[in-house]
Amino acid sequence: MIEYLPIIIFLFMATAISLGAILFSLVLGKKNLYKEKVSTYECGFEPFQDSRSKFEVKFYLVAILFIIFDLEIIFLFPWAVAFDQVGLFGFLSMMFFLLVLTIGFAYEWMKGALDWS
Amino acid sequence: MYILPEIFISLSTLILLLLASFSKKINQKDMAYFSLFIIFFAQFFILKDIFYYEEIFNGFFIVDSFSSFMKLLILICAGLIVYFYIIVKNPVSLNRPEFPILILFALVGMMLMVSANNFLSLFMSIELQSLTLYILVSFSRKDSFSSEAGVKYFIIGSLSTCIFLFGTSLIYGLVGSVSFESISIFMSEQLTMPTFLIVGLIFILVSISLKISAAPFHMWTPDVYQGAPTLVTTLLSTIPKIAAFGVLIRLLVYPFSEITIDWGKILIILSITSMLVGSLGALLQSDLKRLMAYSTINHIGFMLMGLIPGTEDGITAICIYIIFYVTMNLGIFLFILNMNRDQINVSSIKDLSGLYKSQPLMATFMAILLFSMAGIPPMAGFIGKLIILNLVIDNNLFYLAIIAVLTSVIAAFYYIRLIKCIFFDQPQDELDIISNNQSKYLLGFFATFNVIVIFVPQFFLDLCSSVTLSLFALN
Repeated sequence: MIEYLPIIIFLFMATAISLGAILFSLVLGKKNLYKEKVSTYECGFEPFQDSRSKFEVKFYLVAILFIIFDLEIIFLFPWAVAFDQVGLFGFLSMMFFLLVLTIGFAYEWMKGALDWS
Repeated sequence: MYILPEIFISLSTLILLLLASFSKKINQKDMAYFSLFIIFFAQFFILKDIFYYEEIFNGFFIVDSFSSFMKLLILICAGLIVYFYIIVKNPVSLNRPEFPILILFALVGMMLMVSANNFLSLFMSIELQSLTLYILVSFSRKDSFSSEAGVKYFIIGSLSTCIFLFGTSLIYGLVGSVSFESISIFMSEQLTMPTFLIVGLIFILVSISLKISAAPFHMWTPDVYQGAPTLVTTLLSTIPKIAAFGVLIRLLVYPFSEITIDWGKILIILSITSMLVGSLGALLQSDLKRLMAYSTINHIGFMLMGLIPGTEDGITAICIYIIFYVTMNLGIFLFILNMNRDQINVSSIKDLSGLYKSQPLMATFMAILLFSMAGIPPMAGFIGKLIILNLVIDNNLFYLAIIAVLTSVIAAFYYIRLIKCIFFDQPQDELDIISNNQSKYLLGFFATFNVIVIFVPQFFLDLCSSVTLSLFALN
């Protein structure tokens, strides 16, 4: 375990320094707060609107559907690179994986998850 | 091909999913019947290979009689729950063809869980199981309680996943492999156990405790049980518990068998707190589903007690207890599913009052199941408790046995309060309970099962000890 000692020392020092920075500025620092100073900084303008605005839930849906195909590409890429080594078994495995994904895709299409209206 | 039942279920579920999306004529009832057929056939595939032993996919999964037994139990339970879905009058929000399909996907996850032989495959199957359960819990999405329960369950579940992965990474860092076999070999070669191995095991135990809702990791249970649709609560309180117990038993008995004393101490604390929380927490509940959540925690504490010695007898006792617990739970939840007033499902204890006057037969069945839950002698629950207490005393853990008996007495109070409510209280409002004959027969079946077990305890003992034998054949 002794080889982890520097990490422990580092952790303790990091905690001490960061806590110290916060504490000392809280205790010793001069506080002169006024309205402009505590408001959100927006390039010198008055803030136009609240940043926590609502937006369409469909964006989330598209993002979620995108993740599936993004992962598919991540999975397909090493397969394509090593295609000459994986042989027929690798080919059929990937085809099965694609089939399962396609069933999911067909399901979401038929359920109207892709209709933007 | 010993993984055939899982392959069969997942492929046919995919076909069902396509059917659900392409055909407008097929409704959720047809889907449920199809799922029932699939579960029924999968049981034959398992029964065919029940005494085989094989490691498949390079040791990623293991098929032995223990995993086959657990899978069979899970399948029977799931079949009954799908049957409940068909016969019981469901809230409108559950009437979607996806409901039985999601149950089937969760089923595949749980079947893979009990035969996982590697931390990676275990993680994958736990995730498959939990992700489907999150959706099932929040299935009535228009109902704010259901959504709230879903979010709570999701957050707790993802926390449990993170803790599990952290523990796995610690163990991988020490052993250099995630397969159970290598961990077992590594541990048998050590003269002194590395501390971080035990730390990793503690993380994994915490994660599984969150899944089986053992106290002090039980906080989500009452809220999720109450908020989820009752049918999903039935599912949550039975099948995932069986699967998680299967995982826990295999983990502790196979790769970590060298440090039985270390995890035994952790399990003692878990079981004592679970029994205390489960019995004291239920005293002031007014909702039946919440009460059943605390009752689950109490029973989990009892089951964990059987695992402490890590012996064959202990695992046998747990298997028997699980069978009885599941039958009692399914019976009581079938009753709750049938509690309707003005076409709306109710689950408050007050609604039960004076039920004996209007529905004497149903009231008697429910009373038998509640007596069994409390562990009153001629019922099944008593035998389960007796076997586990016997085992604990054989291992000289007297204080544990005393705590278990005392908490059972407290637990018996709230079960018997329900019986008093059913038999002696004045009825307030007419409860139109049990509208169909199938529910009546099925509830009668569960009640009879709980009574006749006392005549054939040897059958269950022999059955469970023959399946646990395969776990100990390895080391």
